[in-house]
Amino acid sequence: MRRTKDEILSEIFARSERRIAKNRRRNKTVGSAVSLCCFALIAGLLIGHGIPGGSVRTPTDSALTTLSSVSSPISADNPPKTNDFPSDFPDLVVERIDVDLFLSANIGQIVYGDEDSDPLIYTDEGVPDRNSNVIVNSGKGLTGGSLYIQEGLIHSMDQNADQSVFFACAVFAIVDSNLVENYSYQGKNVARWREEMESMDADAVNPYEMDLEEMESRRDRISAATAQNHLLSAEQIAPYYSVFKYLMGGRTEPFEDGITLYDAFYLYSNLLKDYCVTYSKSDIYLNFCALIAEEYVKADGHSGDDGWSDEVAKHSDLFDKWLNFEQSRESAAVYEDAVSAYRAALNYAKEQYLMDWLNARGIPCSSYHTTAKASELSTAYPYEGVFCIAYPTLDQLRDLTESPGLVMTLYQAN
Amino acid sequence: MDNGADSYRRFLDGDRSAFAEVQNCYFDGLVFFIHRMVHDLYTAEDLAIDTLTELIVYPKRYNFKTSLKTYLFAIARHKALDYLRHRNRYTVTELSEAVGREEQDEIPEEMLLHSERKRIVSDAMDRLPDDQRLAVHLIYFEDLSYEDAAKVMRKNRKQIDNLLYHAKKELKNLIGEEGKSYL
Repeated sequence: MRRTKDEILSEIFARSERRIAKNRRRNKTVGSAVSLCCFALIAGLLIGHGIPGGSVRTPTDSALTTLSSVSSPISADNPPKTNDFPSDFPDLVVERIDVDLFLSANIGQIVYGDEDSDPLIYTDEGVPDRNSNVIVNSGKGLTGGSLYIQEGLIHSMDQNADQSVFFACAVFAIVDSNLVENYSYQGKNVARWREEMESMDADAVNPYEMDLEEMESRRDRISAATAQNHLLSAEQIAPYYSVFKYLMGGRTEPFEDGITLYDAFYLYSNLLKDYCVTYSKSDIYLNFCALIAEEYVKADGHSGDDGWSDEVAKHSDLFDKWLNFEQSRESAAVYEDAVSAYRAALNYAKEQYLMDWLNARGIPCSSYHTTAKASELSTAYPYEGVFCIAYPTLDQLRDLTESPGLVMTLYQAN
Repeated sequence: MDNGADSYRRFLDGDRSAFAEVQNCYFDGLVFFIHRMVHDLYTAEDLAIDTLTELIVYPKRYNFKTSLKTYLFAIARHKALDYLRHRNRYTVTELSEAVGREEQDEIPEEMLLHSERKRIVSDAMDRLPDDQRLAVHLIYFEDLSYEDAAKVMRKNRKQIDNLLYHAKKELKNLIGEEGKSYL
């Protein structure tokens, strides 16, 4: 029997009270403070080391000032800068970052100010909502997605497939204090790691047949190669492996677009491999899209999504590949749809993994992922995502930010 | 500013009873909208409650510069998507329970579909892809502008245009020749 209007209203108020009380308790925990401080440290390290190949833009001095203020406890001499700071949360005052930061590793299409931005996050003036303490736009280009911390929660607003690795880097940087402590820039380690990855390609195993032992073995090999141990253990990985195996057993028929789970998984694996080995987005896109197109056309699938062509066209190499792939417009349209569908699948899978990873560690996390196909492809949950998340270190993040044409920008949002 | 936003302003100013007006303005529409996504009346109602709860828990988030309706429907969509993800992974529903619910799932449409025309279109909509279905719902059932529908769905205007174009085309196929005048 459905509830009456009065019952519904009572329920709304009751839930509100419970959630407000819960938020208060959560805000007083140390977890959010550690996360935010770690982020501040990472941001400080990145800026302190400079970003070769890029430049620090507007406004350097104030940005550093902002970072400085982040790590400074609020006191009588250093009052909060926002007028609406909750006076009844004295503990929170010390922990809270009282300014909004916008750290962007993006070529130009900054998320904020986008008219399509989520109203929960941005004001009409195009700056992050006051309640959003930190926004990391971890995309490397295109439209960019973002990670933000709001009231002690980590949120994602992931809109791109290609930026999810960066996104993961950022989150790991924030939540993994071990990663912070071990931070040092040693290019040779990255190079050795890359060599190791390449050598692994020679004896790559079928992901379907990869078991925990093999994964553990890979982890050890890579750890040894990098002399760092930032990878997840088999024990940590196990729940996701189980999920994947379960899903594999439970879902074998193609999705409505003719995309099989294996398609998504295979593509995802290759995407990651290419990404990790080359660190080059354009290469990834080429491989990504070529593979998508070939696989998709084979499957003769077609979806109704759109909006990707403009983004694709911005990358001339990819555009050439696109044109060479098939001259007919019909095929091009299929290609577009294929990109869009797979992009959604990959995006979703990576984000879901990340969310679980955070939640498993007691870090509250919610998602505003909005990809059109996410719900349809929600069971495409590639286990390989573990490696996506596990591999990046700050060294690699730094390496990525050194890509030609990339500009690291720190915005002081208010 | 719409009526609901006026009421919400009064609620924030201390008039607790004004929230009932907000509820009256949006609750049924939210249930109907969420139901399009989750296909379960009780879940839709639960998520609609959660959506309105956001207004109380986070009173500073809404800036009164955009439509409250658009704001709420955007939240509702997020909540429905989150629900679908979790359900796909964790939920097991007893068959008997599911059957019982299906029978009652007609209620929101009975409440809101006042014309035969909308009912025919609505039935056909259930067979559209998710995004097309939601775009049609927001434009034709909730009377949102294309721009507001785009905000709710986190798409741009052109994408909404495209979704509606494809949706109409598909609906014409689904409804048949005699139904074309409904579109």
